[in-house]
Amino acid sequence: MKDRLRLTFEKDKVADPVVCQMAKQFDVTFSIRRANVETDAGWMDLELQGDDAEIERAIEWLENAGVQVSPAGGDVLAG
Amino acid sequence: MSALISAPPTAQNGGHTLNGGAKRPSRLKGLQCRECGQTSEIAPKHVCEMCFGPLEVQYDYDVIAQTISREKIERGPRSIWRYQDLLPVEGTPQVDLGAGFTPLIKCNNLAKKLGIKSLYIKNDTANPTWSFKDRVVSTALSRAVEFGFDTAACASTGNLANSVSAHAARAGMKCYVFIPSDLEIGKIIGSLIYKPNLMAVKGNYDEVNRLCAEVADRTDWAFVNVNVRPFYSEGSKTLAYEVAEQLGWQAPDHVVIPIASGSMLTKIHKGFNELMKLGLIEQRDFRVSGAQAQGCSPVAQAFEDGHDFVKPVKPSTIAKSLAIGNPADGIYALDTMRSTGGNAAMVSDEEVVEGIKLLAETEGIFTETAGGVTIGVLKKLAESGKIKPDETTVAYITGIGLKTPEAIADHVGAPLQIAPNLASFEAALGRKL
Repeated sequence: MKDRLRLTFEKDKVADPVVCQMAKQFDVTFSIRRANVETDAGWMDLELQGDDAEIERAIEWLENAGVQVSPAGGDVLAG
Repeated sequence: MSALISAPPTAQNGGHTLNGGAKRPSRLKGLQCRECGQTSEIAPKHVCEMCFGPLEVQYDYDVIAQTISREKIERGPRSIWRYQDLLPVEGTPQVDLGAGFTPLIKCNNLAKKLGIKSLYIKNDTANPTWSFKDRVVSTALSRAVEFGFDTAACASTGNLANSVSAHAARAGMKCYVFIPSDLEIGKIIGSLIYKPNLMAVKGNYDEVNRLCAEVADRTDWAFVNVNVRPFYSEGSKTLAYEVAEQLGWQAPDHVVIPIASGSMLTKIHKGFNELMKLGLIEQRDFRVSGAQAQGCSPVAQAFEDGHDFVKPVKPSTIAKSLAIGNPADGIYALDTMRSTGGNAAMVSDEEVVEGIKLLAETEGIFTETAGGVTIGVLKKLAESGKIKPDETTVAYITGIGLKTPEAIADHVGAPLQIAPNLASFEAALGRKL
């Protein structure tokens, strides 16, 4: 399974190596496609590959680590 | 089993055949990534394979210029399809409930109240399912039928669900619609009546969103705002074309537009610019301002903070049709407002209710909460001098109030209860007849 995600970092998370830690802890690979990380906030669009359950766990871990995770192309839900 | 009933057409095979067999060049050049500029052929996909940027339909304006004219448009149907030369549908539109060509109303009462000389409301509550979504859905599903899809789908907080359900019924397409389980009853019934497969998802905003993203990824349905989004979003350009035509073929000075994903705002801007590029209206500057509710204002907040990116938020507002926390076109809406000298502003839920009431009481138009946001922001911009009194201003009202009476039920008073006799009526009236 592949998941296209946008990770958004608040100021206090910008310098944390969370993506690296995620890849070490879970059996997933990632490919960064676009990113803009500044000192006070940042975002990163990446493709996550792995099996469904492992990706789910990785996403949950990222969220618990204080990173906002959303679909890379924006919300699917519309008005 | 595949939901595709024929192979998708490509830019290579998408041209029209003229009498005598010669092929007219296609108006549609392909898709282009808004971020990296990579191009690809016309196909049902919405993000760039390389950078995940959004894809946009590219037109050949030289080809369009050969056939389009004001007269040709004016002879066309009184619907969005009078502008088909500028829409990404090649043949006769297959999915049509008559969306578009809604009234543009000069609003002197509201203008006077706000201190603006020339104010118009584009009343898009007058669409087949009572919201502007009919424009984008008719465009998306007409294109989807050309691609060979037989199943329509969407994930929606209401208006889109209603519109997809109705258009799919009209087109004889299978239909799957996902909604949050806490949606207003008017919007649930407004979908159910058309008999879609309606899934009410029990979960928070992020969970609903993620499930729908997964479903969209794993099905070969025409998910109108996902895999056919580049075609879907183009339908919003008709909101600019109509206003220009209704103003006597000119752009207004200033437009005020509600922001959810940000797509409508950017496409209205694009629509006016296309008419200028084709010489259908005079070249001129116009300003684009955006409206959001405080409880979901990622774009307005980024505008205010001077950021060039949009930080996702968790929505919490009564304006559910604008409650998109991670807007796909947020940064483009931001760019549009800044580059045109427009503004962005946000209003509280109380101001949303006041906005709904103000429009109803001054102009007789009953809008939903999104319209309350637009009127609330219009008022704010006028009061702060950000709309100049002499600017011809158009505010877009995109959905009807009857679907969500809960939002204002406690704020409109109650009827006077009287007995069925004159004395009781006179007592209520406060005078003898």
